Amino acid sequence: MHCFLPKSPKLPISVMFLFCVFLTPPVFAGNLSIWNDTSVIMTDLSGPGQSSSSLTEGLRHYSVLDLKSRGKLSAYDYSLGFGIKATNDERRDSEEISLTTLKGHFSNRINTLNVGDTYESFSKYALNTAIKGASYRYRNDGNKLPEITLLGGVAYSRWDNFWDNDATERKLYGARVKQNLMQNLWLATSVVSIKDDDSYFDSPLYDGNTLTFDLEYQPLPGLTIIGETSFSHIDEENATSGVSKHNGQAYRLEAIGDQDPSRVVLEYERISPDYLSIAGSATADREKFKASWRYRYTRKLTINSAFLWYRDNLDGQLAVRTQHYKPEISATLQQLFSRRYAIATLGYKMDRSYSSAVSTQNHFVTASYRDRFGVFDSTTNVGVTLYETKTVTDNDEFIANTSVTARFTQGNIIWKPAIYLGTWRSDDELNDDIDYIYDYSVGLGCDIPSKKITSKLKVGKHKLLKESADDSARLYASLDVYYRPKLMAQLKNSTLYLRGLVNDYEYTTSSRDFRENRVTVGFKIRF
Amino acid sequence: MNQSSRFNNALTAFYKTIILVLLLVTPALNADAKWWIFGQSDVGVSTRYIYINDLSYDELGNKVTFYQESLPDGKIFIRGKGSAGKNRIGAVQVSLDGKETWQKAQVANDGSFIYSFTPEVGQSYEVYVKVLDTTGKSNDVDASRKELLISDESMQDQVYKTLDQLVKAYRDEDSFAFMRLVSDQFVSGTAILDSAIRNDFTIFDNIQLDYTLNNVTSANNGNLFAFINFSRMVTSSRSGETFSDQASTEFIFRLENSVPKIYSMKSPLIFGLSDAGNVATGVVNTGENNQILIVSDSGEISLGSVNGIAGSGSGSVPLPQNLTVEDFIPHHIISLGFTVLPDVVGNSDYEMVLEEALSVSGPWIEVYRHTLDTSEINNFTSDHIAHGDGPLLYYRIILEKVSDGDRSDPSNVVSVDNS
Repeated sequence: MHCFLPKSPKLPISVMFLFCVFLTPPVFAGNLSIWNDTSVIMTDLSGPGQSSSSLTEGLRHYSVLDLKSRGKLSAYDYSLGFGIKATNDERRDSEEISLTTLKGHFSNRINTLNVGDTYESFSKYALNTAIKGASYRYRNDGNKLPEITLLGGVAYSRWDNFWDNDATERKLYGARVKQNLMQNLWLATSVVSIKDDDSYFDSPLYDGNTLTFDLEYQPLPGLTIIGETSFSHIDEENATSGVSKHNGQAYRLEAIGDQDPSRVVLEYERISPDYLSIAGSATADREKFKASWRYRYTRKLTINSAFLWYRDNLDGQLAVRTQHYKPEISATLQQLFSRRYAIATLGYKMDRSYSSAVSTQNHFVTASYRDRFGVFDSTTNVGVTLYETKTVTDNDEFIANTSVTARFTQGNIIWKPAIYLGTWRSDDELNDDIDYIYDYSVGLGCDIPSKKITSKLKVGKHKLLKESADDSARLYASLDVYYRPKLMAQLKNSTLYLRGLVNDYEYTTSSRDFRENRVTVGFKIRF
Repeated sequence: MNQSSRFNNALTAFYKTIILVLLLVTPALNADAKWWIFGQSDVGVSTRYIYINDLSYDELGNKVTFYQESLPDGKIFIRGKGSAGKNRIGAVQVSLDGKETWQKAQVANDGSFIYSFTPEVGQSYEVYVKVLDTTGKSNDVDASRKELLISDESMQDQVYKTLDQLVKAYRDEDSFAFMRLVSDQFVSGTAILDSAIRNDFTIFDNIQLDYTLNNVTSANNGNLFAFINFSRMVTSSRSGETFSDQASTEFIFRLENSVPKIYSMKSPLIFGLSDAGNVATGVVNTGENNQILIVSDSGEISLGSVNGIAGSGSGSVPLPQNLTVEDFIPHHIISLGFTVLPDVVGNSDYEMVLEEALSVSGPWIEVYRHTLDTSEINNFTSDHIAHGDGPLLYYRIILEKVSDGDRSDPSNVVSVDNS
């Protein structure tokens, strides 16, 4: 790709310009849609601890523009996409102007070509990431030839990496052949090749190939069996330890049975410690078994149960092996006490890990109840968690919260008041510390449908009371107003918005206190 | 590991998978099983499978929303296969208007069929599939009902909605609401992510999170790639300290009942960072080297950099092995030796950290730290945490990268009798 896009700071502008030129003819021939979100943000920070804030002080702007065009060129349907983002808030993006999207899609149902932002999801292990490049797919349901996909490009996360803010240049090429052996059985083979250049910040460089086979079989209605095995041969080059070779294997078998009243999933997976998945999705050094069963006992009662076991250190390469067990069960009952809107859920989870070095056992018990009482909607959650890590942690937590919302109509105005109360208590028995969190807020929504206005005001306080460290309190208030005017017939979803936010942090150590005030004014247009 | 043991491991795993399949298929073959209804294909007419635009009918809910921009060539394709026991499939018909009218699908000799149409945006279609054998018997048509909605909302809008809800649930520390937006197929395991975010909620307080969506790209199987920037601030519920960071990351979403749900996440993580090694699959490649929040096994928060491939142990830091006691005088000195990759010794990028404990399960206390100029520790004063006669003392070695604090896994543990 670098041969097409030489590194140059002026490139963003030139690429955008060229793409606009490229886009213009089809735009007028086809169906163009534009989406724009532009806002101005004024942030004021004050207080001695303001450096802790995650907001950027001052006047900032943020704007996103997406252009999409669809049409037909001869026998081919096409779609083109182009997006840019501009902001002077470094916390939102390190680049002031950046190209976010650049893609084209051309297809005549049998041949499909994607260029620019390209995402081909081969399989879990083989390829599951987007690239900047191109892909071609041949698929003809009218004959028995296999489906073939080819792709190539660079696995950069962002377009800016082509010309500045350089990242490791990860060239990626892949091919996949998928063949229907029977109508209910297909088999696919994927090859993905990766070659890294230009290490940044001492990140390791990878060079190698992954060969993957996967299949899906549906022997009976409602039963699907998925299998996948993958072999990776990858060299890893570190600045300090030199080149190390990783030859690993991963495989999984999954069976999904889904037909009322049950859905059962069984899965076994083994990924060797030396299996490196650079473009796919896999956690190395893991053997795993998972089972889950959702059983709709009656129309009102559903029971979910699951069990997960996994372990590491498969080749004995680590000093210790850790085993994990995570069983869980929950029941959801609707229309409890013959109340039409009542939904109650009760659940228990255990999280057990142990090795010769560590032993952890956590229990989570949760209950929730949702109901409607006249105009009031209520949700209440209660949870108890017991954490026990031998000689390190022995504490229990209690959490409870409830919210009540209502909706009243008064002429053209809909009022939506809300109250939230929450608490958390943590008892650390080893350190003999008890900490508390209290959170309470009130809100008021006001919608005027005839004027296309929705708004919400919320005020609350969040307090953390520590026995052996600083207490903290955050007083917060927010106001959101949205106005959807009917500007022009072809404009859809145009919205003007105003958002206000106040966070006032107070600590026992007053030198940490700070306050955030932020006002955002913006508009969204889509047509 | 030698070839023979690799082969044995592979063989063992193969047997396990065979047993798993048998366990699953055996009850499935029993048509009388009360909780498991299979075997309908042997009697009467049925559909063996149906796909709508490559999405399995069984996996879809009763109401399905398709987004115009994700439709291949703007069309909906319904393809499947009918089964009629000993008979042949004679015809397949599709209704888009609640059985008011029926359209013929193309049918092959083996019972497979395909039907396509170009839907109108904003329209809803009540779809039924009728499979008829040559004697005129049909499948359970009502069971094939799906309501299809065609939306002109962009995939980007949908990802925004999901991310907004995820961020809200995370800020509100509501694990129920959060996990509803995680796919059952989440690559690292839903149970692992659920535990991790609950731990996040224990460790973090006052979570402030802001994000911007940079790019959304869809694959033909309904998966969505999203690249986002985020900034956040949290308070440690243990120390009361406040931490803030900013970075870029990637998500893969999977469309389930028209809702994008998290399928996988890369480091740096926004969610589940208290178990980053098990939750993340891979590291973003942006060229940024921001200091991001890192949570240690003991729940301590610090700022550090992400490097190497998350989930593959401790990244690029070599593992110290074969720790042995060379010499020991109770209450006086101890000498230890260990092995590590030869080219790492003498490398000033690493430090060795010696930890001491009174129990093999810890707690471990750092008692010595030195540049890795040799793989020995000679005449080190022992007894840092033990006072008086009696207890066994335990030691282990960890290597730490000076530049970013990245650590290796611990070595084996050795013990000495301090009596």
